Parts: sequence; structure tokens; C-alpha cells
Amino acid sequence: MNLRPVLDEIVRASVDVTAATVGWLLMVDGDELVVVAAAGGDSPGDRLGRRLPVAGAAGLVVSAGEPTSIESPPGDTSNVGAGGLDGNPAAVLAAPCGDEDIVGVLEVASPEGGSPFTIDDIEEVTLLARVAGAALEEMDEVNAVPTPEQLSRELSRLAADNPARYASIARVIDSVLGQG
Amino acid sequence: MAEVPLPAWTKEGDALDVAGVSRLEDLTPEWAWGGADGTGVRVAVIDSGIDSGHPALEGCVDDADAVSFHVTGDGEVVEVAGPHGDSFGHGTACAGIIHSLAPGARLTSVKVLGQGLQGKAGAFLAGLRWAADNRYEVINLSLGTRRRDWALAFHDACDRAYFAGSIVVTAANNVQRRSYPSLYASVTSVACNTSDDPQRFHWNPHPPTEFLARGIDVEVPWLDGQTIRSTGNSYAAPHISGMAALIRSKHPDLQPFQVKTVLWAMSANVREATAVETAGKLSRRMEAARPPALGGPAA
Repeated sequence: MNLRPVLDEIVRASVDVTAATVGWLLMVDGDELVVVAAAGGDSPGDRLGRRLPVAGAAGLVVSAGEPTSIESPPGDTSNVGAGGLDGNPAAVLAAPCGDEDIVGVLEVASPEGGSPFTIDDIEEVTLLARVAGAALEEMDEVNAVPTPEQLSRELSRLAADNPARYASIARVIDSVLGQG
Repeated sequence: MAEVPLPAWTKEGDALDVAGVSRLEDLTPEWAWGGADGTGVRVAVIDSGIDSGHPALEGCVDDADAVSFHVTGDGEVVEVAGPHGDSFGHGTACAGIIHSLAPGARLTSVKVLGQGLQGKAGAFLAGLRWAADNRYEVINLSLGTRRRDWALAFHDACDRAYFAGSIVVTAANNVQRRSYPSLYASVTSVACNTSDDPQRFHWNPHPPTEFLARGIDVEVPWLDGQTIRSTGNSYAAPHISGMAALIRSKHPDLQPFQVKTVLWAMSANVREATAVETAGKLSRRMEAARPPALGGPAA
């Protein structure tokens, strides 16, 4: 099964649901991060395959295994390039992909002058990152799908809490099912 | 007459007096930390390193004591003594919060993040053991691991720290997933409350997260002398570390469980309730309100 459309849809959903400008999915490869999916901005496809050092918000998340949301003041250069923005983002949100081992990072960013991310944004991107993690862990194996039981539980909770959130996640599930 | 054998560890209890406290109601903020600034307390910050030259830290970091740990490709844990930088800004942020609450405390950077992705949990565990062996009064861990295969080793390390007299303050996971060592009783596990007052913290009657402190939209020092705003339980834990440093500064003989008791008594929700009711009655009332079964980590 080709998981590329699933990964693309996860990043697109992350950007849409958080009202970010751009997003990307980074996979751990040795001591570097590689862009495996991107959305938003100009020509997101051009960012695929780019290799990055373990640095900035994405580096922190892949090292510590915890989601993080950072609102940078003007002049902060620690996240230049985050989410594929050419300039310096005003806000960055990154969440770990993977369960016991962190295999990647899902990152979204807002440009200078953009809004900071909320607690709800963190929760939603974290959930999408879990789906992405399941896909990344199984990239080399043909029959990979996210853990159905975990997914079902999370979706039920989201649907009960907030139907709008369910809709955003459901897009990703549709994409997964479309690959089956 | 033959001496009667006694079970191991049997001894007469020595009479101990906690100065000025005969009842829980005697515990007040003035008693707990009034006049204290953290002087005499060493806090180990196990994280991504500390930018000791950041202006917000005002020279509170002991660079000479700094140590870092990383794991080689062969799985060997390597200890490197001496000053180092901060790889991400996270350790500097935690240090800044602790310093803002306990400006007299001396901070030591124990760097376990940012030197490769190999064997992170092993480096983290080595850092925790190092801080416990060096008997730091407070150990701040705004980190955790989700690796089950490391759970027992972290459990042992936290017990070692506890019996060595170190308060280990850990951040709960930012989402409801297990994370070690924040689930252990020997640590003081912290998540966010919604307060913007750095000294206002709460007791959470639904463990394993025992305390709640400021962690939402916190202004913290970061890389390159800058300041950012960020959110997470990572920033709640150092608020409790700072308060624990104040308590230990004023009461250096208190053991970890006693410091935790003082934190409980000084929690905003407990203190405000005890203004109209005794602490004993409050405990019974909270016990009655407790849910019948404990679930996973509290938010």
C-alpha cells in the first residue's frame, strides 16, 4: 500500500485544523530528520526529501518525546525554517510520531504576525501525529494501518467532545481506507 | 536473660520535633518559605543543557559542576564533566523559572538531550542517577520516557533519589499517555493549572499527577539570550521545583515526603479550604469525594 497520500492528508489536516500556514512531517533517519510530507506555502512538494539537523522545536520534540508549542518573539532565530516557512515563524507547534520510539515529528507553523497555537491545537496535532507515527513505523511493510482500537477510542472521544474535530480526523481515516 | 531477637530494622523511634509545628494548621506560607530565597539549596536541571550566560539567570548556574551524558553507537553511556550549551532552549527555560522563584538557589545543568538520538533513555537515566548520587536537594525532570523497558530502571533510580533525600520533581506527559518516571509515587509529578501566578499551585487529589502549577503561555528564557512564550507541563514542574527549593532552603532537614506534605498544605485549593475548616476535616471530605478507581495520568 502506498502511504504517501495518507501522510500528505495528515499534514494537510494538521494545517487546516490549527489554521496554520504550513506544515510538514519529518522522519527520523539516523541523527537527521527528513521531510516525507508537506502542505501549505508555495510548492510544498519541493520540500520533500530535505534533510535537517535535530534542532529547533522539531529537534526538541524528537529528543524529548513531548509535544511543544512555542510562540517566538520577533528576532528569535531558533525555528527559522520550521514547517517549511522561508522566514521566521511567529508560532510553531510540533508533536512526536511514534509510541515507545519516536520515529518522526509533525510540525505546523504560522508566519510572522500569525496567531499562537492553543491547547486544543496541541491535542489535535498530537492525535494526528500518532496516526502518522503508526504509518511511519510501518513504511517498509506493505499492510500497515494505524492501530484500529486506539484510533477508534480516540475518534469516539473526539466525536463526543467536539464534532468539528471528528470531521478533521475523519478525513485522514477516509484517506487510509481509500488505500486499503 | 537471653536477648529477644527483633525483626530487621526494628528500633526505638527518636523523638523528633518540627520546629513551630504541632498541628497541620500551623503550616503557613510564612512558616514554609517566609524569608527564604533558596540559599543553600542545589537544584539539578536534567534537560537539554542550560545557557548559563543568559541574562535572566543572573549567574545562578554553577558551570564547574555541569555534566552531560550521551550514549555511543555501542550503547555505552559516556559522562562528560564541564560546561556546555543548551541544544534547544528547554533546559534554559526550566532553569529560568526555578531561578525566578528561588533566586538564591544554585543550579547545575545535567545535559541528557541534544547530543544525538541514540539511547536517549540511557543518558537520561544516567543523569538522574548522577544527581541522586550527588544528593541534590531538588532534581527537576521536565522529561520522561515512554519506553516500558526502562520503567523498572527509572523506578529504582527514583527510589534511590528519594532515600538519598532528593526531591525529584517531574512533568507529567502533555497528553494522556504513560510516561516514566512521572507515574511513580517517589517523585512529585506536576501538570498545568490555569493560573498565571507563578506561586499559585494546587494539589490534585487524583494521582499520579499530584500537583498543578503554572505552565500555560509562560514567558521563559530561551536560546541566544532571547525570551519566548511556551506552554506545557514541562514549565509547570520547575514552578514546583522552585517552591520546593524555597521550602528546603528554610527547612533543610525536611525529608522528601515532608516537603511534599508542606507543598500539599500550601496548595491554593487546600489553603483556601482550610481557612474555614481544619486540614483534618478537609482530608476526610476529599477522601469521600475521591473516585472509586484510579485511572491513568491526570490532565
